[in-house]
Amino acid sequence: MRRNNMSYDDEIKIDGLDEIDAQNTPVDELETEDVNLFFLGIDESSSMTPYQASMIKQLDAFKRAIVNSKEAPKILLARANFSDKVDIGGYKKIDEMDTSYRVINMTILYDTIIAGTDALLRYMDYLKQQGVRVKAVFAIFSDGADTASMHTCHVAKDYIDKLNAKEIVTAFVSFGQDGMREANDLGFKNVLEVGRTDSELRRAFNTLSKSAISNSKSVVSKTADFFEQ
Amino acid sequence: MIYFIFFSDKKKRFTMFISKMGSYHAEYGINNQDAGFSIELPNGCPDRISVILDGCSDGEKSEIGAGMFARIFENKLKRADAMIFDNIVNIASDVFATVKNLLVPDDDPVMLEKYMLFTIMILAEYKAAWHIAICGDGCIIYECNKGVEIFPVNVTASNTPNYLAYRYIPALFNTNPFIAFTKYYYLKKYYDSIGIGSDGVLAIAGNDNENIFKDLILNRNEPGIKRFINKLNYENRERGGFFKDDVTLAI
Repeated sequence: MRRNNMSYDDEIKIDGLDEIDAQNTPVDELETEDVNLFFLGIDESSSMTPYQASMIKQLDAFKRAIVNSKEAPKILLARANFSDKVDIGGYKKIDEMDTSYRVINMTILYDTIIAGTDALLRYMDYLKQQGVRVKAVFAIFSDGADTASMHTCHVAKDYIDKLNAKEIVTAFVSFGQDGMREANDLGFKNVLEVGRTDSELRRAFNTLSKSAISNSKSVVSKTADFFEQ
Repeated sequence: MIYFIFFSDKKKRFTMFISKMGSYHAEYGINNQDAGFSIELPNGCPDRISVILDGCSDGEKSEIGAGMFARIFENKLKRADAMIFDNIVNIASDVFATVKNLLVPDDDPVMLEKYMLFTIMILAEYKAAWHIAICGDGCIIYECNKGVEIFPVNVTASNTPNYLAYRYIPALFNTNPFIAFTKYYYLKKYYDSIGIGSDGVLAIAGNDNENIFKDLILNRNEPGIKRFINKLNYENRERGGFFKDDVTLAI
């Protein structure tokens, strides 16, 4: 299926899935037996252009908040950027997080969810087989609806349902109102709506970092009450 | 009196203390019944003391007695002056009596069985040697130029450990009012390190993965050991796990 004359084989590049240990943090480099995986999908569509500088600042603040917490050794983060294409990085230690931000065009949200879920579940299974105890959070930051995915909302919702069934925290930060309907249609259990201002952007990532740290401390994943405000 | 002090020229390794709940305990909702601690003493005599308590699963609440013993014993040792090993063992006996009097003041045999059935293992590192005292059963971990070896200790013919609690429970079989600690002594010139472990460690003996476990101990890879235990339990989950009993070690 083609949309807008684009080839999806070219658009969707997924890094680090074939060789799990090579692309993610090797088990021998883990400092603990417990690991909290944090998938963060970040919208880089053109509607985010007015907030590009602010996003860089807030991503850096998000990273610093977690790096400075006691939970840092346990948290591995995979950053996924989605716009005209999906680009998913491996699960790395939080101090290796890339905080750059650029704006492109479209919003391939559903494809990101599908590819990100596959990558997360594959790495989780691998870690468990290596004796690592794993919890996970699957988070999306977006300001609007999907515009160019190959897959439908219904298929993406099945993937979110799978994550929910496995007691993986699903969290959606809606930057403005447009993302809210997507979050609810997709079945995210935790949804945070913030206004479309710089200060609200700061509140969004501040809440996200506090929630990530709090969830990491908790023995049981906060599947229904993730956002800590 | 003349004292001879020998200093080891071997590199001082950091001490690792690990305690993991057994897969049987996890499955049946039983607490980790092992307890213990490993501390450096401010007066340096001994340099370090490690203690492991291994609660008997027949003792329904043995983790309570074991935990109280660990806490009280640790506090006493931290406040004590320099001690020879026999003094440390005497303090341990006194602490056991203290815990018994707190939990079972009337010496009710049923309650003694419930709270006070636990192995006591004490490892003290002095300048020239390691001293170990055990009342119950467990294992001793040797590290020398041949690598790491793990040996069971004090396993009785009936496979029932000689718990210190049996001093106070006259009605039980195996009762021995003269139950005492068995002591061991290892010169530093022959060993790189000595450690102690609860008998749950012995599940790895003779297994294909035994050398991997020993290498992890040799490298003091604490998260690696924990992952190793988790991994074997996960791989054997259909059989209820691999390390079914609680695993605690200090080396």
